[in-house]
Amino acid sequence: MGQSRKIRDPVHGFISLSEKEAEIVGTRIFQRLRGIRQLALAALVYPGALHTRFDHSLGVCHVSGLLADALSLDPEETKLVRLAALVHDLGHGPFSHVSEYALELYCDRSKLGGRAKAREKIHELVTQDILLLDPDLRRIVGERHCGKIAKLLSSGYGSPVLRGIVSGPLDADKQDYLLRDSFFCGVKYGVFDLQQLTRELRVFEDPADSSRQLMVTTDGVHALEQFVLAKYYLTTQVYRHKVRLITDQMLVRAISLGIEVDGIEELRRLYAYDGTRDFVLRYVEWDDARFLVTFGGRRYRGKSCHSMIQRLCGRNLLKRVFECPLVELPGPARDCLSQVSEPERRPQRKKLERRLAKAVLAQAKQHIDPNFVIAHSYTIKSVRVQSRNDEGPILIESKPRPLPFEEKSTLFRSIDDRLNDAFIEVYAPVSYETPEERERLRRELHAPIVSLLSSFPEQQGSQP
Amino acid sequence: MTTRDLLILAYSAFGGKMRGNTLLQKRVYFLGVMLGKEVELGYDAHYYGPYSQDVARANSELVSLRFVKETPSEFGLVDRAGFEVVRHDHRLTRAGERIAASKKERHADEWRSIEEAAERIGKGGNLSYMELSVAAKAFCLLRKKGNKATLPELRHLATRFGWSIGEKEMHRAAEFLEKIGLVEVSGPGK
Repeated sequence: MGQSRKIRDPVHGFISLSEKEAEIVGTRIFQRLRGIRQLALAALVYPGALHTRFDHSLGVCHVSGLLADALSLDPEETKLVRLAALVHDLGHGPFSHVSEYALELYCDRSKLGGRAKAREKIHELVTQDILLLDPDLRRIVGERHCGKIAKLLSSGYGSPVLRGIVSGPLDADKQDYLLRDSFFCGVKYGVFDLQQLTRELRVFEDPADSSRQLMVTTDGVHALEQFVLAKYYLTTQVYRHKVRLITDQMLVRAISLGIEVDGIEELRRLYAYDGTRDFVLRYVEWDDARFLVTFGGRRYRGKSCHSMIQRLCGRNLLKRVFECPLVELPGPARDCLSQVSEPERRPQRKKLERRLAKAVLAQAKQHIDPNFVIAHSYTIKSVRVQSRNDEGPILIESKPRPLPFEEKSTLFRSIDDRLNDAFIEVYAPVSYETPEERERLRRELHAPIVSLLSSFPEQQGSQP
Repeated sequence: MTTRDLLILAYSAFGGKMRGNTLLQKRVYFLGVMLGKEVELGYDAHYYGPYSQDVARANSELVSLRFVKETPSEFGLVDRAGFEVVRHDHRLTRAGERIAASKKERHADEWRSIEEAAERIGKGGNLSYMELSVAAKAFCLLRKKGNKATLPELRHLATRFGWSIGEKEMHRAAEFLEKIGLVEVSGPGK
């Protein structure tokens, strides 16, 4: 790689960029990523978590270069994966994954025709659109290469090894975000031996059809175990931190209230992806700050969306008034509630939340906005299950043939993986003065909410 | 219908249990092929045959909701020749059976197709996870060529996998594909 610029990075040291990469970094579309925080409002829990998609993208480009070098990819392939890694997050909107969810919620897939396959995420389509439409990128990278990169980031282009570097169980994205999120959150859970893992990567050629895929040598198994543990700890301690779950849910609720209750057309147009050039041009004008200033600003004072955003800005968060493992509820309720946070379950969720609001109102004896009562379900997978599903199929070099990681790792084989739970939580805009008051309210709410949740599917009528 | 719904119905159609993760993956793969849903189910090519993270996740969800009970085999090697060192068996629980029953009613048409496909797969023989993997990988590779594969082609291909496959396993895998109508009966291999 002809290197033209070195950027100092707190995670990887110096990151070297080629002339072309540096030129991309200088474009308006890339600079926009400085305004999109990597972990949305996680800074309300971990004050250091102010890093952005900008530094993460540079990190992913760097790590993908390390992987490409370790695997001795040819210069053209290396160039392609580095470019793909650099631009892979261009489609992110305000507060990253919150926007991802909102795009899924407000996009009418039927309008996209054959373009949106059922499995394709809308923000990935937005990234492809940006790559194909942005005049600066087209000028710097070339139209043909933009197409190749878009393909590599979606269904894959060239050897599966390239796809494995940009999107797969060992991709550069995860390798960077674990280290970066750990560093900026100030936690040590996400640390793993990047150098060793990279050094022990190999390309394995399947004798049946000569297809190539990533493989780790036996000496890399411990680094891989460390990587899987890092992912697990960071998930439980940071990504699923209770306050972070609440702030993300509050942002999503601010958006849906803004669109559905307040009728804010500007907000609807931000998330109603229709595959047009106009949409993309509008979308890329938004980042976290503009979102907060616009929808939390004077123009929308008095609107529910504004009020929710003001709560977030003042860290006046909703409170978790109920939590319960789903297994404590009857089977049909469990089945239904475990999917209640899915975008397609929105109507059922609304009905449930209206009933929950009544229950909270009756016990809390405070004035609360029923629209601010949120039911949210999620799963915490055991580290073994997580590794089995995601990293399990990674091949480990061994004789006479490679074996899957889940069979080769003594550590992961020995972990009992039956501890795998799904939870439902209820957040509400209640207030209390003391921890005792909080406990009293939670105690009083427990039985009525359990009873309400237990009869959930019957009350809602038939499921979709 | 979600992947999880399809999986719980698959459990029901296969008698409520699956012996090992590989067997589960490959059975659902063939079910997906017959229903024209293998791409939707997220199957990707893999050295040990088609694998879907979505199916693996859906199965974890069923376990976490206690609709499926998972039992790991005794610690230690269960198969020196194969690639499944510890086997995880899965079985529908009572709650799981009830949920499956309600989904059969709700998705009656899909359930009929799943039941028929599972029956066809069952008629192919009671294959081990290894035999089913040979069949799945060979079928997946040959299908990329576009045409329906022949038995000799399939056998020739399986010798190149680099797995420890005996003549008997290879034969059973080929026979399975033939019986379920996914390979053509032709050539000297027959």
